[in-house]
Amino acid sequence: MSQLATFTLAGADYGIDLLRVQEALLGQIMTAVPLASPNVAGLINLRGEVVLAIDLRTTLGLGPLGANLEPMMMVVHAAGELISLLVDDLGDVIDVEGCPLEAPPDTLPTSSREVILGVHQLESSLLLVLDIDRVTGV
Amino acid sequence: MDEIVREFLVESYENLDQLDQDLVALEVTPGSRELLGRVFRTIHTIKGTCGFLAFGRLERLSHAGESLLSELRDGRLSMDQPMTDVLLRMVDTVREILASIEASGAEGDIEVDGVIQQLCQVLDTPAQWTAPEADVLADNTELFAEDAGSPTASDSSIRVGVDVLDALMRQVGELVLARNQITRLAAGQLDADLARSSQRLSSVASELHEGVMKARMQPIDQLWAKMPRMVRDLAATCGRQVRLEMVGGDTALDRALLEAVKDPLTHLVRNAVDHGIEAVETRLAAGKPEVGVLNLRAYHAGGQVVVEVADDGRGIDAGRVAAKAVERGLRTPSQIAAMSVSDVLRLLFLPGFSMAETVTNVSGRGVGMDIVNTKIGAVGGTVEVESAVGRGTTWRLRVPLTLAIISALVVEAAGELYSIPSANVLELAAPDGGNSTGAIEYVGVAAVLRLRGTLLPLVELRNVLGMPGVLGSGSERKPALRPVIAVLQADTRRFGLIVDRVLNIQEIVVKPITARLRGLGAYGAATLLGDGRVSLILDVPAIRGRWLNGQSVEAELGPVAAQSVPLGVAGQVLVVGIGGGRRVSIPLELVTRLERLSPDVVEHVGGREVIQYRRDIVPLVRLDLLLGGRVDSAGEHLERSELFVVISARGTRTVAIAVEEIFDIVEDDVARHSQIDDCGVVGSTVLGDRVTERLDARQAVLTGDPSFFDEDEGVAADSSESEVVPFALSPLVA
Repeated sequence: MSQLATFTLAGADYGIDLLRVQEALLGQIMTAVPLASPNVAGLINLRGEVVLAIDLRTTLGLGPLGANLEPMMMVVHAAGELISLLVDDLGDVIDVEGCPLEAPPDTLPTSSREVILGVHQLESSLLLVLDIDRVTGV
Repeated sequence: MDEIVREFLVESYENLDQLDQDLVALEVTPGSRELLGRVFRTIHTIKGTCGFLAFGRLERLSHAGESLLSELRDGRLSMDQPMTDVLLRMVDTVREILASIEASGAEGDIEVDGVIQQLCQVLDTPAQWTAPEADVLADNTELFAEDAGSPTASDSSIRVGVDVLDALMRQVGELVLARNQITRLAAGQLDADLARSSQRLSSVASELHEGVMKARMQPIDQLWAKMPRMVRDLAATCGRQVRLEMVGGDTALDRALLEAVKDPLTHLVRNAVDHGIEAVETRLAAGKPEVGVLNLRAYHAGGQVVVEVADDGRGIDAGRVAAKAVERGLRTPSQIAAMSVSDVLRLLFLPGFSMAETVTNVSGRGVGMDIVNTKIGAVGGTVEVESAVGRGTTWRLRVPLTLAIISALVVEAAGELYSIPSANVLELAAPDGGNSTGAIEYVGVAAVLRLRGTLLPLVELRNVLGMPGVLGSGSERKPALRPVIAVLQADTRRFGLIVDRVLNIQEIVVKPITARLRGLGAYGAATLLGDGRVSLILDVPAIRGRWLNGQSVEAELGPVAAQSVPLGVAGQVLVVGIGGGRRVSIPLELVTRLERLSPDVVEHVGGREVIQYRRDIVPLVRLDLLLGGRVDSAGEHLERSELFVVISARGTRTVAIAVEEIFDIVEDDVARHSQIDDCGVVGSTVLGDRVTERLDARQAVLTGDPSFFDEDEGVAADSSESEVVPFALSPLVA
């Protein structure tokens, strides 16, 4: 993973392997899936294919996004299918070649530690790297 | 040996037999394109297949043969005797190689170069073999004339790659979606031209869809063609005599479905020969013809393809299945006791369940029937089984006609739209909340619909989706609401699904959803609606399984009680109230209809109460009086605004049993029976946490009409005390 696609969730910066990202989307109509686990946000229509959307805020134990804010989506490849991840906002693609991946700080709640591969210390901030397979494997 | 190689061998042998005949016939009619085409295709198929199976010699040989045949087919050469000879030699050599492959799995060192050389010679020196120019022309004209009269198969059909068809199907799927979208947009417009265009688009899309579907359809004969050989071999292995009968081989289904049906069908046939049909001695001892009959039937029914595998063998003993299930710890005795015969037979589909006493190489490892069920279920089909001990077993596979586009009912619940496959929808009912027909009633906490005299269990879609229902239950019911009920069917069971609203029936394109959502037990797939929204397709069999099986009481029994439970099969009972808080169960076998009548219909004939019912005079038995529960005068009955009546009819005899209230239909729970001999009851049981008296229904009916059972076959008029009872399955008389 030398390049990461970044996004923000509740003010913190997160990154995922750029090679796994297919595209970013905005404002999709979502169909709720009753009975599904809480982090399943719903199903979206991605150019004729039905794609599962996962709410990363729920996965990471963060509170819901403000009422008037619309989440962005990052469509990623996971376990042979496409999955859409709900994020607050998209960031840049960051080159982390040579930058060491450190263990996640102990202060993180367990729920998020499980899905975080590690942390990159950037000049001005911390970048939490998410494990796509863990995040999408509801 | 590899399955593919075996298939290749079987197929090639069949083709070669035909080839011999065709080559000989070609000598007589050298110009016949039909024959030449067929011969060419056979050799071509062999060549193609052995190419990827890496049988080099066979490939070279058939390639040489094919080259000659293609010249012949295209009319550049004409068939004569030396040519036939060399072709027949080629066929013989092909056979030799096939035999070697069958015996040793390899081609061996059979000499092919000589034949190949001869083939090339014939090909390379056409002058020697070709007839004079004029003759060829004459042949050709003759040939064309013949063709004009009857176009042959090879002329009127072309080979198309499966991927091309699949791509076409996908495109048509998208087109249907776009059509739905346009239709929706046009519906809101006043523009007449737009409406016309939209209609035209709609019909063209439908026809195109149908056409592409047809192109993908293949007759089930393709699978069946292998059955005679398979049954023959199996019968020999298992020491059976079996006659295979096949009806409806031209029934066509989508090739993807054909593929899905293949393994289950093979398994069922194996099973029927190994377990179903008995050995000759056993058959003769049972008074059956020594040759067992295995019947394969395929037909279209209600938008589905039905494939039946029926044998006239020993049948499946439900009692043994139940015992086996308990023995293997798959079910508890109390669970078994609450199951109907068909439910018990469905246990055969549980993973790891096998009835075979011994494991043979044909079947008996317990990995069969659940795979049949899973495979058929995966394509939206169902498996049913019917069996009569000593008479045989029928397995019925129902699969949809196509996978890609289905007709579905779109409904709304809690603001979201859901699709229900039309194949599962029997009808829609809008309960009027009013009187006798189509009203939702409450039996305990469960809602039922009285639909044309039968009680239909109801499930709220909102509840299924884990949301609070709109109806409430019991005392908190809200009769003001008028939901719509979709009467659904799954696995031969019917139930009503209460939805908020029904939108329409439309053709939808089935889109797969991730396995973790299918695992929720409510959704089978998804589709895209006209506005581009995703709509989940409800998995009706799964919903039925989850919401209706557990509706009867799950008795929690101590080990002592459990051991005393007979492994019989309990029947369903109707639970009624007779006033004074007493509940009575009536075996459902004796319940023909339920009616709500006006008390005015009760008349008196010779001191007995009767009602006029369907132009007959029917004796009325008041259950509360019969069971001595209440000492009210008849006058008080008349004050009630309505009269609940259980109609019991048998042949021309009908008896009406008046009750105070109708509660529910539940599976009887034999485990909780206790014997209390009292006036008119044969004991009591606990159903739905309430003590329920078990009505001596036979006696009750006889009170109304002493000759009620006389018309039953084999039951003498004086047998009322004997153990010959018409409802033998009922625990009431056990």
